[in-house]
Amino acid sequence: MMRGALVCLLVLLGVGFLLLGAIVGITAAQDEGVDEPPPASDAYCLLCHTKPDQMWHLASGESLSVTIDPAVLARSVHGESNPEGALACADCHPNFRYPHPASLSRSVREFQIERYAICRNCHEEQYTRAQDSVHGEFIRRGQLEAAVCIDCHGAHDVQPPDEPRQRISLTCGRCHGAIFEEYRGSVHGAALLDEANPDVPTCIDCHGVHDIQNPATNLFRVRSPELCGQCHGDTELMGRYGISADVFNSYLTEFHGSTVVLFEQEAPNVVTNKAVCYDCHGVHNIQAVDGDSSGIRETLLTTCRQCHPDASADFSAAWLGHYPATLDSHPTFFLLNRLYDVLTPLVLVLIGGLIGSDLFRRMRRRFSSRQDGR
Amino acid sequence: MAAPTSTEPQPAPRLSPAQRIERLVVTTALLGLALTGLPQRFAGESWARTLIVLGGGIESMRILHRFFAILLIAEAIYHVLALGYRQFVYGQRPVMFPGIRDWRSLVMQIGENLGLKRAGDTPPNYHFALKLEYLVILLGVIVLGVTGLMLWNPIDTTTLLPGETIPVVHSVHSDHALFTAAAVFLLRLGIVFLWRPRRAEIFAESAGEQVPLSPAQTAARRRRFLPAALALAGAAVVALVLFLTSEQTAIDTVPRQRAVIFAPQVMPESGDPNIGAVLWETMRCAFCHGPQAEGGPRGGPSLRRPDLTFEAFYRQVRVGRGDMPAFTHEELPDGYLTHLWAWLNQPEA
Repeated sequence: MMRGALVCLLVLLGVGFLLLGAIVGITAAQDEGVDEPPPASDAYCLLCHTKPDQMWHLASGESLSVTIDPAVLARSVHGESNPEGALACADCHPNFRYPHPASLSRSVREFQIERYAICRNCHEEQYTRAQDSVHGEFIRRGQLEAAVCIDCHGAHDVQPPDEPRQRISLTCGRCHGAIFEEYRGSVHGAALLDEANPDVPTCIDCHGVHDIQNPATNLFRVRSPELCGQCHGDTELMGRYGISADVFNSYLTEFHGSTVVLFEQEAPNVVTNKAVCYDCHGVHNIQAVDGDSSGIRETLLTTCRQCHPDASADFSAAWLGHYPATLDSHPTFFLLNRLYDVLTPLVLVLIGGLIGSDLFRRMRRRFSSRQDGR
Repeated sequence: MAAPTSTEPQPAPRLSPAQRIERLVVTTALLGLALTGLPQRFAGESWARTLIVLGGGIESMRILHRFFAILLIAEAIYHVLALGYRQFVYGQRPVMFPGIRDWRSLVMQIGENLGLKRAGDTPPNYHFALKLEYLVILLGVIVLGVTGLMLWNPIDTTTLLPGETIPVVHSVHSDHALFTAAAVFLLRLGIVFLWRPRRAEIFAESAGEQVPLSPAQTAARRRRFLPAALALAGAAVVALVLFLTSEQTAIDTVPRQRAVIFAPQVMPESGDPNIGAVLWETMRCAFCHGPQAEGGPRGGPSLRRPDLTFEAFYRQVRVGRGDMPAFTHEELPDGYLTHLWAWLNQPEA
């Protein structure tokens, strides 16, 4: 009897251990995701996605080609040349197996917006900055045409975005076509697109890359001279084109420039009516100053009258230009400047001399009275 | 201001209440102008920026500067009338203008200070320093007043004078302000701490040059002077107000530059083969069709064929066929196809 009970107890204990082991094992297996299917291999995906004319039809009536050219993928920056190894399909499309999970996107654009956050997995800094940009702001407001990662960089054929350098402005021009056309006709745009000039600014040199800010704000306006000054205050860079780097400094010392700089430092969000570089030179359609009849000198009075509508016929002559005045260019201005350069120190030295001579007399007297005292 | 007529010893002469008020106004206006003007001249310096912040910002500083300028101009008008009053009614000549005697006194004093001349028994007399200060201020008020008013209304100024006048007067205004401020500062330093000029001697000069007049003569002169002075003052004030309010130099808000921000389908006036060449490279066309569109190793046909029309090219790009993917308008706007077409129609590089 005792023996039978002992056997039963041992059997029960054994079953208990087995059950416990099974439970622990199952839990551990679940923790390790053992029951999840392995990520789809590239070969698995490309089995379907290399077939030509593979289309995905969305509720909006749009169709999206889902045919992938493995060769295009391989020569992208995420392909064979990727220093960290080529990305697999599942890196950007995790949990995608056939049949694919249903997408909530009704249109191609909605699908792109839904998917682009995957870039964050590897490019968190750029992604976060883009979220803080004017594009990110518009997306949050529901204006889905604003650019997301893939609009500028592509999806499967991501290439270095600045090679060649013209690619940068051509990328922006895809959405900002009107502005691109203006830029294309400017001295900067023509040099970039026609001559592949490495020095002229592309869009991102003025607007930034991922954290592109709204250029219509007052903050952007008062900071814009500094932006222009990054190149136009660079003596070496300007020297290559025979442009004086004084253009920037001369702006900072004249009425408009000094006011704008003070606003920028003290109250950057307060509107000022003082001209910044682009008020006179244009925004995207900046022309060479010494160009043809459309050059700024020929149209200077018209430019002045944008802010000074009652400007007299000779009002624009009040602007002596960005270059330092010389005896030949502006004799009265030059000579009066030199006069004060001499007169002010001279008079101050004379008054200072009077003070000094008086102190000298006092010291002399004190010295002689001490000697008399002895 | 009545001059002493008795020969008996007089108490030390003092400024009249009106003259003291004048002195206070001039001091306030000059200090105010210096404190609001010099930071504008040296706007790049940190001390200047601190003062500008303390003054409520640059626009506030400019308003304050104009306020002190009006104060000084008003004082100048009053001073001229007061000088005229003393001259015409009492026959007192203005004694604050340095004369030959003052310049001689200055030279002599420097000689004595340096030991080049033997010092006299009397202590040095520096009242020429007060006159020098008066001269510097007078010159400053004239130069800074005229140039300041020209800068106040630059459009009116350039209607009458060449446009280049504005930078010239701006430069003079700025330079002369610095000159005046520094000279007055140094002279005041000497007057207050070292020289202690005896104002009594200047009063004595004034009394010495006075033409004696009877009370009846004085009253008659006053009756003639005051209406004329009031009329002149009124005319000056009206002219000043009219001038200062006659011009709106600039609009308050600079017009915004208008631009169509989102415009993906803008067509260029003409295709640019240079842009087309870059697009050919960057839109992966060369991958299949070869770097010069002559046909590629992956089987992409040559696009430099005389029978290829733009319509066929456009359709192929948009629709795609076989290995050729379709390019959407977002990827490759119509304008860019124009550039590509321009490049394709150029002879091979």
